[in-house]
Amino acid sequence: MRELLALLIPVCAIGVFLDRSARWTSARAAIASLALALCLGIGFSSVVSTGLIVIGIAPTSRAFVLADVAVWVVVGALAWFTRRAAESPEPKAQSPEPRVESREWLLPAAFGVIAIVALVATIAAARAAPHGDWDAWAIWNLHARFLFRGGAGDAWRGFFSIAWSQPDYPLLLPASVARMWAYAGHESTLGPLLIAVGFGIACVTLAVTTIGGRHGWIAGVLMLGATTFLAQVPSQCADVPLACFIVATLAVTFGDILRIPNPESRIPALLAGATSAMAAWTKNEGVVFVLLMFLIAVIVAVRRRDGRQLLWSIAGAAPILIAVVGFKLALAPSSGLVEGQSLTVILTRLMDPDRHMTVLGLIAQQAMRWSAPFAFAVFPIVSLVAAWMAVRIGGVVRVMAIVLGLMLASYYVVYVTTPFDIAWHVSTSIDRLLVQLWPALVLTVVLGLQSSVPSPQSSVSSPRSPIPGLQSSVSSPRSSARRGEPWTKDC
Amino acid sequence: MSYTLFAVRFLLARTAAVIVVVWALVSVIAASRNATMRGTDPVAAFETEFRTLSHALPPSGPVGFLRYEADDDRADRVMTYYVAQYTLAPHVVEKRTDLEFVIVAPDAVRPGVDDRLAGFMPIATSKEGYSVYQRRAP
Repeated sequence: MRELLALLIPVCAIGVFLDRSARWTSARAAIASLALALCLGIGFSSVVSTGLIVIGIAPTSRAFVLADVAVWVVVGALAWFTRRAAESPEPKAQSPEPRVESREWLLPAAFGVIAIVALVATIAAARAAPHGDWDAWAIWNLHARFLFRGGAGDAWRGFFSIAWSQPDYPLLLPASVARMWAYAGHESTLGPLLIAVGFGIACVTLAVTTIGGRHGWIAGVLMLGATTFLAQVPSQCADVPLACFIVATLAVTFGDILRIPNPESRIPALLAGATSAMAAWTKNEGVVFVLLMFLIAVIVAVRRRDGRQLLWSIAGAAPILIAVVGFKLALAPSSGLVEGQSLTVILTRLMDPDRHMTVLGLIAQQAMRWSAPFAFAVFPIVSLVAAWMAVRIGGVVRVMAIVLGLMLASYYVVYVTTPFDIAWHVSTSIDRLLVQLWPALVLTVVLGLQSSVPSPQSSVSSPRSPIPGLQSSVSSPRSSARRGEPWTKDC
Repeated sequence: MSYTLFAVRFLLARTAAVIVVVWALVSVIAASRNATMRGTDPVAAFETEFRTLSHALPPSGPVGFLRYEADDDRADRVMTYYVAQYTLAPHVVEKRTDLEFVIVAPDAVRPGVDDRLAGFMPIATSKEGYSVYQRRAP
């Protein structure tokens, strides 16, 4: 179980930092922070591991583990002592906890049962396929083996010459798995499984705790009910980790997950920068996401005429983006999707109506079957609800829906311009691409539902954004009018 | 009137929540059942085969892999090649025979004499017949 220790060391160090920053004022905030610490811990430790391998410290050596432990002890200690210095004698602000009604336990209980059955399904799937799905062993765990076995010299770079194993994919997952094996002292199938399950749990937890109350439980239930998403958790591919970083970024940016009393706090921007950059360090699709989030941060900075939050976002993203850029420019070959493609060819494909019709038909067909046989058109239906809420409610729900819509649009453009056979490309990947967006889509819809339900017994405050530019814009025109507040259209 | 409207919306919300919970419960139970009924993983079996060959290879350097004479891109054959690469990393396994060591699947060899393996000798063979050939003559 040394793999578990490897997982927990960075989580504890980042947990101390988050405790210092967010000052856990409720169980919900504490659980959300732990989930955030879990995904950030895996992410940052992968950057450290990659750095150690690049400078020539082999994961099979004791020096690797010692150096890694030393890094995390220093990070934890710095966070701890900073906390001591930053503590003020003022009492901590009490966050409004959801009011518990009679029979309020029904939804948490239902979520608990569903989560336990989902965990059983995950473990059963992992036992049946201990090396993960095809892409897991042919890409992610293969790269991890190169890093682990070839780390002593330059042999780890060998996978850059294997074109079919997507050598341009970033190293968050392979480096994390290699790090687990370094701690274990051998290549265990438990290491990648722990990472996969950790991301799955973090993903659901972040959505549930960000929303809170009964809407939070509904979000968790809805997320787990999609069997395609559930099947991807033990697959050991990078799609659930990417989904986790996307949902974490949206939760930190637009939710009140950390309940920081000071709206000018730099922490949410710092964390959002880090989580969005982690998305780019996880998979190439994450690059689109980090660019979109950066664009939003720029728009908010211009509207507020205050660039401080933007700068903190950049500061949070910088260490990881340096790793991403360094990897892309200095190590990895170019992506198979763009290699050898001229602008003329791409434009010609974009202008070809047959390609558009083919891609649209295939996407529609696959999206309708997503999570079948127990769900029909669940992804399109939830997407339509998100679009309707974006129009009706506006505010952060609209911004989140636009981000997800643009992500979908970028996937569509890649399919239309793909150099591969379109039918093969779409049919072998669209399920996983929808998995990447599913948790964020659920978060968007349920946040919208939460803010639009006019229940006087509503136990949850409407979601607020830590970004003041987006602060009051989540409310619907009607609910704002009821409270006598102006309906701002900041977004 | 507004109270009735509110009550109707409240009831609708409750019904929707119940539907989502029941649907999710049925889905996860079905997923769990499917996962427990899943067959054994072919990757683990192939890996055991190729692992027995790894001791016959040098610690580093590329290794060849004999192409199948026909249907080389068939899914099961692609999988065999990919698992060979997965097992033998950090060797890079390439589909060529101009290297010192070549991995040969039992059904990839031409019947009779396979001139692609001229000058090679088998030095290790797994239980299911996967072999490592080493070049003995130029």
